[in-house]
Amino acid sequence: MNGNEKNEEVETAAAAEAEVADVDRFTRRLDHAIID
Amino acid sequence: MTSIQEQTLRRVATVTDVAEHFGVAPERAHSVNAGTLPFAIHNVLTKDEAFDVEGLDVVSFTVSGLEFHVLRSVEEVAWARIGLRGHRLAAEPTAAIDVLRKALELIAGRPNAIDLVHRFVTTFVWVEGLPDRGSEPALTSCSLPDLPLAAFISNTALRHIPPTTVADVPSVRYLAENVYHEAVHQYVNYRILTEGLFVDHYDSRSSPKIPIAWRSRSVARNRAWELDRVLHAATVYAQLLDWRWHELATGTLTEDERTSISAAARDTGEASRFLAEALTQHVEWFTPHGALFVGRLVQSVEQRARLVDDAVSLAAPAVVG
Repeated sequence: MNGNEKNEEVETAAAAEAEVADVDRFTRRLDHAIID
Repeated sequence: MTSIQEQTLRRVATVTDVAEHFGVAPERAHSVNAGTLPFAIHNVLTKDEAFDVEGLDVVSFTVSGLEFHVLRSVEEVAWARIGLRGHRLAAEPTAAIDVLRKALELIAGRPNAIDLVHRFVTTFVWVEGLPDRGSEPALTSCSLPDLPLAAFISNTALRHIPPTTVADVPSVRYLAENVYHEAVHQYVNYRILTEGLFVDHYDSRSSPKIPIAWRSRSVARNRAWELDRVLHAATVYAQLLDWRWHELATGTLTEDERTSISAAARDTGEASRFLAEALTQHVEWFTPHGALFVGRLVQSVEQRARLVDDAVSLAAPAVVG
């Protein structure tokens, strides 16, 4: 197993274990407008 | 695509997968109109029943064999729950569908881009600013993390590409870019909410704020960004650098399109480097998985910014004297 494969395995495991985070912990409005 | 993106896309073949990963029951994800999935997900994410999903009115259309939807009408109370102050749903979606179809056909010419769009944004909400919206700026486009799979877009998206370029002549190319832009937001949102990129005690309300120089004249909420918003923007800008590099290599751009896209690309290179540096300075707010995301993002920003710098230099007229 090379380094990349190991990284991918770790990443996949981390993603699979995560619960859905509380959406209220994150910025609610991601917008852009001309004067911005 | 990086390996992490590929893994995410392997987990998400369709929008019903997205809905299920956000907690919508599989039988419900498959039974409701696909155009109403953003609202079904909202009800689960926020643990309330703000939207009467079956009562929503969407119209569907197909581009390159892929199904997309436009919200046709919405009750006042539901619109208030969406919370886009100073804006209303555009009265008639026919013209919106016409331009969206053209924009999606352009996106479909780029397999990586359409792969992302048809997984993460399939419901469009065409909005217009109210004449009496006060200091609230007129939206070009917007994503709301509690409404995954949806993008809010106005006619301005045919003229404005971020950070600050406003074209003289409207073009469906700018709309295509803005649709892709919102799909990247919803892709990042999916990853933030389902993969645990931020540490458990992160909260945008107490997050460090990063001053955003190119938005210093904006409304207060846009002058300094929380770290999750910086992650969103850096990822979007990195993808837009790639998008614009391909645009500038397109032989059929009009003069106005080439001028606008070159200007936006140059500004985005600088902005994305700034945002990548801000993330690096605050990497302690990320889990190991999130820090890996940031590391790869920082690398790709620098590589893409250099490529775009070269492309913009080649596109610029020679300076004599």
